[in-house]
Amino acid sequence: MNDLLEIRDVSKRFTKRLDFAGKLAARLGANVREETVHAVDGVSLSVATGEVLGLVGESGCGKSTLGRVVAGIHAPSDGQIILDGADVAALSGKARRAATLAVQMIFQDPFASLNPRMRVEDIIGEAPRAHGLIEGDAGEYVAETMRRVGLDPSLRRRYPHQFSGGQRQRIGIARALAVQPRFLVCDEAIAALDVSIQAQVLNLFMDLRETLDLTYLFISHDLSVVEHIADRVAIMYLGRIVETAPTDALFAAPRHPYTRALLAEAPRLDHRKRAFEPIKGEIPSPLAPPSGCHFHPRCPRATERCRQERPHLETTPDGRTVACHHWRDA
Amino acid sequence: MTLEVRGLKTHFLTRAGTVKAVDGVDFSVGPGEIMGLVGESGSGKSITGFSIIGLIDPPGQVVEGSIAFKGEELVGAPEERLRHLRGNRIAMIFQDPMMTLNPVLRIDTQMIEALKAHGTTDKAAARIQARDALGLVGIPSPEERLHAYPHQLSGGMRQRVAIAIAFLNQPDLIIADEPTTALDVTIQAQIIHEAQKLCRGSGTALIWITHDLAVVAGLADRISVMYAGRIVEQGTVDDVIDRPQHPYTAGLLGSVPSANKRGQRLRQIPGMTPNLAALPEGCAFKTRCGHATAACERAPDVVEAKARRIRCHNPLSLLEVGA
Repeated sequence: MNDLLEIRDVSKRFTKRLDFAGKLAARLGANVREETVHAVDGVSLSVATGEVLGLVGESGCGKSTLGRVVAGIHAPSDGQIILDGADVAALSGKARRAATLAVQMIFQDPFASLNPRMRVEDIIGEAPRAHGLIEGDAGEYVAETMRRVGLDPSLRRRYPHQFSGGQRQRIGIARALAVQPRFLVCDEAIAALDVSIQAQVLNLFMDLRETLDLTYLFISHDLSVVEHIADRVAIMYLGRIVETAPTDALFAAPRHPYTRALLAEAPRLDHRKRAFEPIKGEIPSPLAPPSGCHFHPRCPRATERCRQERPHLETTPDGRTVACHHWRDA
Repeated sequence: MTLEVRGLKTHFLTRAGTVKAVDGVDFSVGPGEIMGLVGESGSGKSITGFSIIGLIDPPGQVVEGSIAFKGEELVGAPEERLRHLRGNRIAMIFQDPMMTLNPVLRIDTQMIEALKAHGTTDKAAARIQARDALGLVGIPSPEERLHAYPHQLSGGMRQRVAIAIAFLNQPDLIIADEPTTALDVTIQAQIIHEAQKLCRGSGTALIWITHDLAVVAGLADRISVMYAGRIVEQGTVDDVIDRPQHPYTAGLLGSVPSANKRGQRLRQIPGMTPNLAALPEGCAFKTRCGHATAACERAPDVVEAKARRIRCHNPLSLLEVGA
């Protein structure tokens, strides 16, 4: 299978520049400096055509930033996004536009991601019209896209506020599908929905994958959702990937201590009243991440080496990758 | 029993009509017991919690029913009495800890204030009590944290402070409304762990309101499932989750990914939650229910069998669930 998308050593840094008062204070000897957040720190991943890659992490780990870099909303500070074997940043003109349209994003909040002053038919029809995918009357095209995501086309003259949360998320999906993408980045796309509606939207994602041959980067904090939909899972912690593995293998036997903690502590229906000792500590600030392995202050297996040296992703014999000095010990 | 709720109805009398947010809810919680109150948004689970603690503002109103707290009737009790109970005998934990915490006051000021409001006079003793409470919920170096302002703490730490404040006066009942929904998995596990430990240790009854069945599966003794203002199924955790009898409970459980085989379609519930201002006659779930019959045009009564209560004309038999 060919890789549709490859993320090659991508980093994204956000720097808070000093304003005038800050510069003045620094000149006078105050302890103010420009602060840099390494939201994404040297991540390499590849997604095969037709694959669903789940990206899991807690808040602040950089998973959304990575999703936005992939979708072309942020330019990477370092590294490359390779689509169909070509570096997206090096493309220009027509090829660049095709590459941009090929990757679309679905956002978490169906209330904030739709323009409240636009009718549904315009929300869905605007982009394909602007990019010349349709000419003249968009009516039939919009209706077909709406049917595809399970919306009644007769509602196309309505505004977003006239829909429920689940329906709005379908509008967001229809908007992404309207430009005929091949790759969808779903950033917590079902997190804001009720359980029964989540199931409906998850089913829709799975149906679309079949009918439209889509490839997904499915970003979520919810392990059970990712376990259900993804073929392969990448676990992220403080800007770095700590483990990737096929879904079954990862859930059966996690290798990285952080993955283990996540799996043990995620609430599940079959985990009844258990007495367990949850992992200690909080997620450190990405402004001042710990040295060496970012997970060492919370890790039960941490040694001196973990404090000093950053572990790199190693490929294990069974075809996973783990970034831990001690994965062999388990 | 610490709390007995009977036939509770909380309605919102709006210009667009009466919204029956809570429409006939019965349950009870005993000392040291943890009850999970589960429902989707708009099911009335939070309004049930607010009704118990007396925080319903107009146009909302408790129109019927009784809330007996250790034998004392709270519906219609004078505001002064409720004020005495709130934060003292009954406490609440909200989803957003910033609803509990005052952003411009230090943690110690807020905690000591809560103690003084309910009778503690010695400030030094109150301070020690506040510090111990912070230690109890797993906050490292509580002495220093007392001097912090809420914005200096992370979301998880703030929620711990809110829980510490709720437990300050060793209340008999705590109502927790989605307390871990905004938190990360590892932090959520820590908070659940602490809450469980505190309740077992102190004999405090806990009502844990959530939309997440998986959370209460690991935490609660009993579960009540709410739909459109009513409890449709109530029973022990094992009964409700392993052997659901109401079609809605079964549907909810079927929607949870971990209960399904990977890659297969989830068994979704068709349609969406009904508008509470225009509920259909009869069973509120009938339009989404695969088992609805002519009998469902009539509102179902509660059927009680062993330790569980179900509001359904056609409860699922055990055979169907297994199939």
